[in-house]
Amino acid sequence: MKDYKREAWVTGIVFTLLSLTGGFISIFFVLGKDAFFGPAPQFTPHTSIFGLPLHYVLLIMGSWLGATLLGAIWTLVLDGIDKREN
Amino acid sequence: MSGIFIEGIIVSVLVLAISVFFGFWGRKMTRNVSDYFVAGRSIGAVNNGLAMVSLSLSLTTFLGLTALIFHGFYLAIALYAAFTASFIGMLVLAAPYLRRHKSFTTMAFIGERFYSKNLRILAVVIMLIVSILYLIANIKGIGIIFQVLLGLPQVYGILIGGLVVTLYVMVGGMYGVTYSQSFQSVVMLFAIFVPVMIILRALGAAGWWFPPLGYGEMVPAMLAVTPHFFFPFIVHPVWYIAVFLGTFFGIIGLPHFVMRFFTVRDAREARWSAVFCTFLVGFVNTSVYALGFAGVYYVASQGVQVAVADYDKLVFILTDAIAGNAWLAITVGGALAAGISTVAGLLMIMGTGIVHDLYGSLRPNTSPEKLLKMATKVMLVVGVVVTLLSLRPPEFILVTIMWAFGIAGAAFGVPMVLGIWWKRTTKEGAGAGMIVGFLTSFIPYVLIEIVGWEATMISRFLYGPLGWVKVIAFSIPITFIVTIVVSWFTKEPPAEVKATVDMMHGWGDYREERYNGKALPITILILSILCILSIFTLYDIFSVIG
Repeated sequence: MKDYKREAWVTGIVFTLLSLTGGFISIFFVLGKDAFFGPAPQFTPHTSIFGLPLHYVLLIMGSWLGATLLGAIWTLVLDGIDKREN
Repeated sequence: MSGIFIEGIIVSVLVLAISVFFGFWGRKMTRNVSDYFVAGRSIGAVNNGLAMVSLSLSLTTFLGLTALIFHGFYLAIALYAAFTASFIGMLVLAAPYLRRHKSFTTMAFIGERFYSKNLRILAVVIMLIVSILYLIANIKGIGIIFQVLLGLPQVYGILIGGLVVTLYVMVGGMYGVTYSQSFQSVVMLFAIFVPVMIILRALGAAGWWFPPLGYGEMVPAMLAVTPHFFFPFIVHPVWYIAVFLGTFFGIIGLPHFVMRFFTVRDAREARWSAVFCTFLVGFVNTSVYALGFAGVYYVASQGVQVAVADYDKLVFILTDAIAGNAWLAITVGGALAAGISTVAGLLMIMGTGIVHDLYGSLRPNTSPEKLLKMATKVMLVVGVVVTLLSLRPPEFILVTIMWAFGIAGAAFGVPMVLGIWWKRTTKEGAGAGMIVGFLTSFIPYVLIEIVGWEATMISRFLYGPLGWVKVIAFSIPITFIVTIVVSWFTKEPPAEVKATVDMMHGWGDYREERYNGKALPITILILSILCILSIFTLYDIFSVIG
């Protein structure tokens, strides 16, 4: 694959994953349960990590360590492409 | 927290004195226009990362986020989680490419990439509006700090704080701002992290030594007093999409964030500085979530009454009540560092925009020496004017900041990303997109925040807590659509402009097929249309909606 296409693909994949870690993940917990105009769904967190509800941990850790990791991977790939270009 | 707070004044004077020292030190290193505006493009990854941390950890984080968590629970945290991840969004879509473009500012980039002096001037006007929104909120925070320190009304805090920050930006330029911000980052990290640990320990959290995850065992107690703290369901799913779009494109569009990448040595340093910054910002933000959790728990379990007007002071109230005076002094010093660093970055971009992009465009033959002399005077004028404008601040810090992100994302973020990744983006497309993006986000801001409309008066789909945020799920996609469609139907950019796109991506040669396909614009068009439709259709398929 040509390097500019690799750059575009890697960026596209990383950005898609980032959209999940950066906020879209909450949508999967909300979809079909929007409660503003109706009765609030029963909410008791069943699954927890370190005592915190699963969806909450996924949100705060994904947006922090998940995003940092994705950024580091993308940076390493782009560093490699830069070296080949030079 | 009434009367003069001596310990707080000592710490704050120390923070201010060191910041001003860096300002004067930066002055010695400033020899030309490039030094003044972009620190001679000599800043390394760690230093730039720390300066970015300082910029991002404004009083929005220090005071505003805790207040918003107190008000919106999970929603506030979801909003800030998106903001944390958005630094990597800015990294992969824009940062290293902007560094290679060799512009001084976002406005210069827009003017050169879209080969239009008019667009550059339009960009300066939009930048000034967005920066003023961002500044006013932060200067309000500085007013709160001086209120705590001196027991004086906020208005004096705003005057004193605004003028002190103006002084060191004026004398030091970007060298001074960068090194001041790096110092302020270290102060802020300490001033947030340690008091949070003390507060969590006092409330009985066994994991107090690691605040980001250290309050898990308090969850049952929290759910007993505040059952909906972790409740994500109260908003439409599109709200989360709007938050994602607003933060990811807003951070690219906010010139004072992007400007940091013009100061680094090369694209590699730009990339690693963003990764380093995201790690630190995430660490601090997750600690502030813990602080917000502790604040909600403390107030709910102790039956403490906090007036709405005091929500932005919750950090100080909590630290004072639990950790004591000494830690309150450090927290106030950290908050002051957070406030002045962001205000400095904003003043810098506003001054640069006026001198370099506006005056420099209208009078292109002006010598660099004259621009440099003008820059110092303009910084002073801008600082004084904005300080005076801030004397009538908004009720909540974070709300104004969120609007700034939304407006910047639509008006700047979208054309910049397309300009980097799609050669076919034309000046007509970018111009139309900027105008549509600005109007579709700024008009709702004026109607809701200035005229005083309820969001649902604009559209019934803007219902719910922070429902106006959904404006962004319309303004950013419509900007993408307008920019792409108009670009397609207008004459393609000149060859030398298309060559700069290859250059931004690091290529030494030019090839027409790079970044010029149809897949990207078509994919963006489809996603944009789906996003806009989801605002309306998802609303209707929910059976619970009356």
